[in-house]
Amino acid sequence: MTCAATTTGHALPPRSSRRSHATALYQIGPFKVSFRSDLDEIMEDVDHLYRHCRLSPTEVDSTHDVITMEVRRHLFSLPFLRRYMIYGDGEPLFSPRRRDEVLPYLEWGVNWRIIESRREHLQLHAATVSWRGRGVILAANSGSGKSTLTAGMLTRGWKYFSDEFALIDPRTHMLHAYPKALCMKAGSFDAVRALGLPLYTRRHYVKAFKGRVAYISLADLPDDVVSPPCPVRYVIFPHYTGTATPTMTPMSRAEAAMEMAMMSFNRHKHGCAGIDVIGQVLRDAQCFRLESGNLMDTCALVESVCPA
Amino acid sequence: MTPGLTITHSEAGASADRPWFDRRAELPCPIRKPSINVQQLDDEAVLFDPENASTFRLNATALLVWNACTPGRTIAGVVRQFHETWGIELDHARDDVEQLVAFFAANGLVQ
Repeated sequence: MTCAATTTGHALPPRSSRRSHATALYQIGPFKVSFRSDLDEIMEDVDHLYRHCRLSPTEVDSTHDVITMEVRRHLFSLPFLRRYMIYGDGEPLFSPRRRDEVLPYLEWGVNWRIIESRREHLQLHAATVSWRGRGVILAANSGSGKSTLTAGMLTRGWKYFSDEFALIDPRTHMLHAYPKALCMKAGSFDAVRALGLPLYTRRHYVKAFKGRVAYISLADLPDDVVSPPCPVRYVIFPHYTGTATPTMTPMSRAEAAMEMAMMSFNRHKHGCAGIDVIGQVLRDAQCFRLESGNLMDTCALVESVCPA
Repeated sequence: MTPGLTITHSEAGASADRPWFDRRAELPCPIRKPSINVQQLDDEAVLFDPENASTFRLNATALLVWNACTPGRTIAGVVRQFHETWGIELDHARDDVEQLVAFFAANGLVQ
């Protein structure tokens, strides 16, 4: 994979390391992703998070559709100020990162490459779950409590699509899973532990404005936690306010359409078809604003509007 | 802006500064651009302009005016429809319709 990237003339410099680094390959939802790193700990952590969807090289027909991620030591960083470059499909994705930033940025780099290179789905910035065959989109910007709410829902029997992406098939309007590890901020650690969910905190990781983060691997959750494709029936815009009593307020579909359009990662690649998809999805969905507070109360409230 | 759609707050009839402009005249409505994608959702709509990737939300009253932007319609006719549908005074209806049409024109949604 790395060779393929270098031969295409991308910015990835020639590898000069004395050690050979193995490439690990994973099938995360519809996407095949390969990882390679100068940092052994990154490969360990990636494997811990995605060990349940590891692929052997023989399971890959072609490297054409593989997202190739690589971490390399930045050549000009001093030993006591070591920095690392993260490459996606041969392109440097970020400025050099500290060791404790590498995994969160690597993970975001995968998202970035998906946004940039995959157009088979309409992609929205949203957590997505399902309840008895009905898809729920929790669309919100970062810091709105999507991942924490998703974690809470999973402990109540909901199924998981993603904590970052809504992948909508433009032909069928069905939601599809991109079951990445859930990324939790430090402020949610206690709540997640109280739920009994296994939080992977083996190393200290920091992600830009989010601060310290840790992960919940789907490998540590029940085998059937990932949802099969299903239609969208609810679109919810959560906002964490810490209010004592969470509230849900109905909103118009047109208002929801505007917000979904703004939260689409790749609407511009779909043009009018992207708006058509949003319109079609919303015609069969109910839309709400959610002011979330106590996690379990909020989950119960969401369940009350998504009856069995 | 489309000629004749300037918003004015003077009383109906010729305005003092523009005696040639008669607001009671049967001015034609501008026509919706065929390239605009319209998603009607309940009694509202979302418009998407693929030329500049901008999105607009229309409430029920704005949607009525948008739907009226077809060949053969006049501003005065839309004002009367607006007045009859929503029970708004004619002067207010005229102001609202003119503002909406001016908004559509300013954002390149009509031709």
